[in-house]
Amino acid sequence: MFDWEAYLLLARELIVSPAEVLAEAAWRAAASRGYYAAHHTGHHYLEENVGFERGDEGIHRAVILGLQLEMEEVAVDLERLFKNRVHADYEARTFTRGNAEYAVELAASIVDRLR
Amino acid sequence: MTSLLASPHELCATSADEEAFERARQPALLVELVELIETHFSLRDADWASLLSYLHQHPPVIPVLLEAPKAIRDAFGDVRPWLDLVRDPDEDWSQLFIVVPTVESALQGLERLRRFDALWFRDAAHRAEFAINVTVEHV
Repeated sequence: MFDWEAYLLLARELIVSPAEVLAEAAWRAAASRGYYAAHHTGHHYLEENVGFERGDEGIHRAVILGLQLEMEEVAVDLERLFKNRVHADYEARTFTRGNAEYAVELAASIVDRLR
Repeated sequence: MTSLLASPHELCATSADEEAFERARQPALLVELVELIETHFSLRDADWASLLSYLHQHPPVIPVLLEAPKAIRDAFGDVRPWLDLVRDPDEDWSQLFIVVPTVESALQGLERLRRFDALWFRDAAHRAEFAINVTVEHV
């Protein structure tokens, strides 16, 4: 079974020293992998602990809403990370190394609390 | 003589009177809100129509938005936050965000956000029924 925390390790690797021409792409990819490490860890936590049932909403929203009932501070942080990931994956405005580092620290903090 | 500063409860004889009073003063609240947003925030991924529509759908956000500038100034100093209405590109939902620009390191920014959560936002998020969030963005 795949360990989603590996995405967090990959995210940290991506930030460290990408070639200059790839730097922003690497930072965006790091933020995105950080989000998915936290999202999947949260999904797994809900499945294991509360018999997660999804309503009509999509999976990203469903995990945030599920966590809101169980660990609301984690849900707030996952939503923050989600916003960061929308920027990384969909918006052309500059994405800095600082944003990638923020995403990875936030993701690590979420994963720690869900372990 | 009844004071004009009396509460709606004192001015109104019935609950229908109170509801009518509250409806009548909504435009004043709206003007206050628009002025506050123009003074303290910049709209980024949001336009007035979509923002006002969102606030209409989530009225508990309004008093929290009115408090936010002071709470943000107390925690982050003299900054001008953005208001972003984040739409999930893959799923059909939106969430209003206050985004505080920062030049601090990720750890420092996160630490400051944690203090802000403890001092104000955790309670404010509850009152807003989680229809608003606050984050930082490195610039």
